[in-house]
Amino acid sequence: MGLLRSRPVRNAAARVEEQDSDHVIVFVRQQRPGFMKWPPLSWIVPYKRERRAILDKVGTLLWRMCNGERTVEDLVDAFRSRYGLTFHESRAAVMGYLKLLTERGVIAIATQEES
Amino acid sequence: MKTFIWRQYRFELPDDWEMLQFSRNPESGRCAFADRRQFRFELNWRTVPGTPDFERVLRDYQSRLEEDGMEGVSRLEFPKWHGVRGMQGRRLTTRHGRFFAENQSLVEVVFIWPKDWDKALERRILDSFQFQPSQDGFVRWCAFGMDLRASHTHQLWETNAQPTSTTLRFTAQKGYREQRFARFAMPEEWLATTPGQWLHTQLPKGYRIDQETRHERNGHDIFSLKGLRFPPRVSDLFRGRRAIKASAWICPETKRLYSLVLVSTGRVVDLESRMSLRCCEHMEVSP
Repeated sequence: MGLLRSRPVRNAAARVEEQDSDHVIVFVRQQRPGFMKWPPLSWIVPYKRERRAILDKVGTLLWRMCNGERTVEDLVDAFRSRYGLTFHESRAAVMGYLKLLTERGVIAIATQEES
Repeated sequence: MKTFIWRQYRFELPDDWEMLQFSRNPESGRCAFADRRQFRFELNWRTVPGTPDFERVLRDYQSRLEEDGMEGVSRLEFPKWHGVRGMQGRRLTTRHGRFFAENQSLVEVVFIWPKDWDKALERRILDSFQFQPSQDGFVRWCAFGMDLRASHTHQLWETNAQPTSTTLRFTAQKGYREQRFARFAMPEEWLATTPGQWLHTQLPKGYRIDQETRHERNGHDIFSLKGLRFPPRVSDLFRGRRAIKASAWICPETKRLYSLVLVSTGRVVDLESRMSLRCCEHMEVSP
């Protein structure tokens, strides 16, 4: 239940490129690990300052809704009514997307202590 | 309330209780249903040699529940059902058993009441519970938003229930004949072709499609195709050459993509073509 009450929020440090109204690309800054900062590894191993996450239409919709105000349950309900899904279908789909977006650093999830 | 029929057990549950766990085994199995917060209802079945002695079964059951730490265990009686109630932590659980002579099975249903005990709802669900006999050689199943009729000669072989797609596959003659029913959500997000073109990707390999049709009925645009096993195999000489019939459509009411596929042999293809899938109250499709 705790996860349903948590609030996903977009990574404020990420750079966003709008492709069109349905698709965005999110560039997430990444830090070079300490052991790769110095030669000779820093000469050999290529390093990118940003990691790119290309979101599809559904991912973009979800990313736009992650404003830190809406809870995961709100997102599940919004998806449910938009696509005519049952609650558990919508929950599984939204959780799957949130997991992917979190792993890629596109969003973070603020959890709330159980009262 | 919505109707569920699983393994010929028919019952009604509140609209927001969804089936999250299921068993295919006809001898012994379990289905569990949850609302958005937690599991609320469980169905267990087991084939038994004859009518059980409920008095003894309940006595043993009561003492086992007490051993497991359930408090306040007492008997419950509903028409046709024998039950017990008890507190597990702060939750009330009620359990009811019944013998079905039609398929010689013992059924147990479990209700979990996290807040108040809604006796009227419990009574309504128990009253709705019945054995659904096969009709005209077909068995009805209602689950995962599908209302379907599969041949009684076929066994449920595979159930693939994903968050937004469900496929039920029934087979006979060790998979030589097959009836497949599927339902997919959000087609507007992933279906880039017509349901007719998509249907080709769902067919088993080795069939030559001889006929493709498209017709409109009750606001549903239905794509159908027919074909034959090609080239024929030696096994077709003994068991009959296999034919395939399939249909796919998007229901404008539920906004889902449905498909049904029949693989059958010459002698029974017409009979088995009466399998059907209902997407909404206005439309029932046979391949």
